Amino acid sequence: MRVQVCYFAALREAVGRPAEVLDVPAGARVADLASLLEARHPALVAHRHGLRYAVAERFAGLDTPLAEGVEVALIPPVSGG
Amino acid sequence: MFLLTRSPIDAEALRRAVAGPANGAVVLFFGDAREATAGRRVLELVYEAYEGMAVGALRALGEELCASYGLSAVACAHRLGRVPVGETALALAVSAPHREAALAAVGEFIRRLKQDVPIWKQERFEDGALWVGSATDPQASQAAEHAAHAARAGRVTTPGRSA
Repeated sequence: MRVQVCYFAALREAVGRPAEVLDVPAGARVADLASLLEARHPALVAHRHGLRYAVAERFAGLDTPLAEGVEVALIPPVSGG
Repeated sequence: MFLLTRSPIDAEALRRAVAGPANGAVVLFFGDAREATAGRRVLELVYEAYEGMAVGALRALGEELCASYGLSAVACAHRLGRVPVGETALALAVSAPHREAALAAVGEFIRRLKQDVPIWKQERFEDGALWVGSATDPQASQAAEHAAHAARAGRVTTPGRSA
């Protein structure tokens, strides 16, 4: 199934693009996508600390199941204000 | 009223958004772009957001604090893109029947925004730029530095063969 992955701030610069569509196996969870992304973009490894994920615009744990067409965002430590 | 904007913030609009006859207190907070951080001169700030999630998170935070602090209303505007030194990056308006609740809620809102709302700040200097709190930010927590160091140390390169 295909998911849309979004990158922001330092992660967007590390990956070199703001978003991409990726194929993940049926039944994949956030943790599976995280492993796939680190293999695809080794620069992400340095940004593990404090990294969170959002699925469909909500913070989601590593065991959250993914669904066809869902948007997953990598959320590095935030710094608004 | 919760919005992200690439234009200067209209503080009076925020104040109007929280106005009402039940209020005995209206507190306005402005977070401005400061000229220096950790002794380095800042030229400007640049903000980026996961816009849909950020607006939803600001609204949810406002609603939660209205309930828990007994507020009348909350409104917040945050800039995106370039914010020159001296301009307002964040404006918050809180109204309540009494000042204690409104003043306390302002502190809580900002603290939570800085933890959980997906907005990122880049500081631009004469000789570079950094995303605040990122793995490349020397001011980020010591734990983050250790994690980044471990990650770098784990990337083995063979002398004389690297590109």
